[in-house]
Amino acid sequence: MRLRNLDFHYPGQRFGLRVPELSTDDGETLAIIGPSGCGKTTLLRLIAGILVPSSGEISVADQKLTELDERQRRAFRIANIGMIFQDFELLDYLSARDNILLPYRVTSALTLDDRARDRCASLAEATGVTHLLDQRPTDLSQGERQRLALCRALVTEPKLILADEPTGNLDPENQRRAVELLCDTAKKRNATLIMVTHDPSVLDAFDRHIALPDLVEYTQKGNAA
Amino acid sequence: MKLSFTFLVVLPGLVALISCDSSKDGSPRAIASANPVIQTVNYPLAYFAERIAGDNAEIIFAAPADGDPAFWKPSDDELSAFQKADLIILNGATYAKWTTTASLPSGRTVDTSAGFADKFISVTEATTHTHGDGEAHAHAGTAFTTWLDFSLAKQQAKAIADALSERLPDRAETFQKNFTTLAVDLDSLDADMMALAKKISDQPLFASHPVYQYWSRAYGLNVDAVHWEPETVPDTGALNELIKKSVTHDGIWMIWEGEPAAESIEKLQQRNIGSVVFDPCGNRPEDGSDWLATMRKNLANLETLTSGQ
Amino acid sequence: MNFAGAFHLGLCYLRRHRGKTVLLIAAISLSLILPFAVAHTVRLAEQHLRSRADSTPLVFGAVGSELELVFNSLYFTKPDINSVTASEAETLSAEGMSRIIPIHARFSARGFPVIGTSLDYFDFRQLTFSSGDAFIRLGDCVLGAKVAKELGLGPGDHLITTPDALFDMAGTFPLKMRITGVLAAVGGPDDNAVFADTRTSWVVAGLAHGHQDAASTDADQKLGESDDGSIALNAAVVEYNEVTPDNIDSFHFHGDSADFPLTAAIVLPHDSRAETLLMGRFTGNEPSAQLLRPRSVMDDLFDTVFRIRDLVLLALGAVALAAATIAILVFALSNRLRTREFQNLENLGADPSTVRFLVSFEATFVILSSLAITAMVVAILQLTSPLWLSTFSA
Repeated sequence: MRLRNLDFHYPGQRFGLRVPELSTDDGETLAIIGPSGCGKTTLLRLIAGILVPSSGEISVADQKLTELDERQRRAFRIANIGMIFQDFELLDYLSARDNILLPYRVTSALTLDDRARDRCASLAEATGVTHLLDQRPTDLSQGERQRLALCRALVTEPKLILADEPTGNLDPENQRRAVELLCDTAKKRNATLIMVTHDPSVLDAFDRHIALPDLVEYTQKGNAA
Repeated sequence: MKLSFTFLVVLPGLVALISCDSSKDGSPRAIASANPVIQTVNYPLAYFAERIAGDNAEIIFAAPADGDPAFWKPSDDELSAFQKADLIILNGATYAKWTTTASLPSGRTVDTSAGFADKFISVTEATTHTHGDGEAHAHAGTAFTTWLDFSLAKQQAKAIADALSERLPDRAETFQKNFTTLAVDLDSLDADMMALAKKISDQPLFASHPVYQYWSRAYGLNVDAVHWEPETVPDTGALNELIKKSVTHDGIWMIWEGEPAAESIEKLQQRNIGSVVFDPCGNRPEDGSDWLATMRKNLANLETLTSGQ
Repeated sequence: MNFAGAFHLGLCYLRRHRGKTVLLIAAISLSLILPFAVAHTVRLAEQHLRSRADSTPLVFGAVGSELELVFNSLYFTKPDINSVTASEAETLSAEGMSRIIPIHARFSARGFPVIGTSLDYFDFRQLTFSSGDAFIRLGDCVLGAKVAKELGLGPGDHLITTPDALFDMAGTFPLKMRITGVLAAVGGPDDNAVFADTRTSWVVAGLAHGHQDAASTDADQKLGESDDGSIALNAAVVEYNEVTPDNIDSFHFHGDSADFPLTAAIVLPHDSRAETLLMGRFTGNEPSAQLLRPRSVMDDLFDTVFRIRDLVLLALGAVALAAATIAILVFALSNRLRTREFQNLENLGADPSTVRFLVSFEATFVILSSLAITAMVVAILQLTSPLWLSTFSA
């Protein structure tokens, strides 16, 4: 993943941010830390192609996202980027298995075949949730839910995993375990992991970490640098 | 809401009252059958119907030959046959009591004496009785040998002709023509009887059975009846009854319904009472003749009276 | 769009919230079915009621409620209407303008109305016999198809009439009637009735009876014998409660049978001129009886029924509107609760069309299901209405 000279303003807002340069290696785990409201989630959404920068360049797995239209970006994102949301955002009306396979149900870019099901099974095994596959998320513990969210992010074999404070609501011990699991699994699958967090206690598990204020410049409309 | 409540009550009611049937018109009187079946309760009516209908209908007179049709009781099967007839011809005037308890289709039934119900002769012989505190009542009878008054017979024949004409309108002309011929016979019979009666009206007469009420009234005859049967020879009691009657009714002729036993004639003769047969002909004549011939024969028999005894 | 996937997700959502879904479908279906059912039932009722009324030219009866007279003579309900005498009814046919069919629908036997009438009734209604034959004499009866089926009776069996009141001393004795036939089913009041000769119904009414001959009664049963030959009998005299060939001649009517009651008479005028003339007789200021065209009475009845039906439909419409509003609120609320779910799906990279499908799936499914159920119920109603209507009419 690489991004360069990124400029972004939320529509209708004066303040924006600029990212001169950020890149990661394959299989690298990177933590981006910063206080609440500093733009961590915005950065992740820019990398995911959910938000579109006014200028600059974003490449993921050698694909320049800034050259794709909306439809192409979605298709690319769902096939190549694993997302882990705050609170995991599992759907409580689906079983654990269906939650893991969710990406295959909501796009025509992916096909739900036996290989996908096999991957689901092996991921569940690797994360120790095989026995929970028929249960609903509401019946599971936070840790189990996190594993499911991780499985869902990895089921499409993405090159990049973006995690948005997935450990925010866990106690310190569980946070540590969760982060270790994230990093281990990402490494084993040779996927790049970028996680944003405001909690400095989990940084040891990552190959590298950057404080967001060091990475970005905050801009004001009409006063661009 | 009152209306809604009414509706809730009315709706199931409406549902409960459902029926299906096809529509019909109000005058289904015409007979569809090509050869209609006509049931009659006595021979005079059967004879009139045969004369009037000719070959246009099958006339049935079902009562057995050996009894009085007035007291015949048809079986259920015979009653069923009556019900199924295209036309049922009744004598009325309480003739054939079974007709008052049998179910007959009024639309296909003709009471031939209904037109002269006001001329019926009532007989009050039956026992009067009451139930508990109820009102007293008598099962008063009505004399029913109407056809022996030949003018009434003509009215009965006319009722048959009209009923047939109404139900078989395409053959009405034939029926009316046939009736006219029959009416000529009946009129002549009536006139002859009237003429004959003038000659004998001053003679008190005995009758072996109370069946001559209409006849005696029509022709001004003085008849008193006993309850004798032609085939039974009157015993002493019966003769005493006659003698008792003779005190006030000095008859010298006994009118028999049928040919009496020779002994009966003799017993009466010993008392200076002659015997003469006047067959009411309620049943088909055993000698193979018909009603009109029988009546003619009756009149011929009566001529004896004019010669005196 | 991934239709199969989205459908799977939609179904999973509905399954998870099946209580709510079933409730919504039931509410919408019901609010659609009810107005139809009401309208359909009224239409059927009208059709059937009218067909019988249309096939009955005129009905004659005592002055009073027109509707009750029609219902008594056509549907054998309302047995407590006033009577006319047999002779009053006869006068309508006396001048050869019409034919009358007497109806004496006042009594019942084991819950079914006993209709005193004449054999002409069967001809008039074109009724045929599935077994046996018409009543033959006094004391006979014919069963409607449903009566025979429900009571398990047939020709040769007997049916006993229900006395008016248990301790009625005046004389409505239960009469044991001989069954001579069973009518073929036609679907309607004729299936649910017992038919007998008018005179048989008069026997039930206590207007005729048979008993031991007065003269041959035991001395201790005679209260007295007057000079004119009249014999008073005490209540110990055996009254027959069944007409048999042996006792039929002892049955006699008390009073002039011309004065005996009928609840109605069906009048069949020979032509329209006769009908007009007959109707004209009963338009005076204070007629003693009434002659009605059942068709007009039904018109009046249905004018009222239609007015009420329209009100009911209006009320049901309001209910349906309320149900629809509530359903819309439920859908809106549920979608609002799922906003974040849909947003996350978009973030995941879901096709916008798939998300849109999911958003509308619940409402679409509920509405289509309701319509399908409504269509099904309506079809069933229409196909089976003759069946359940005849069941109800029992």
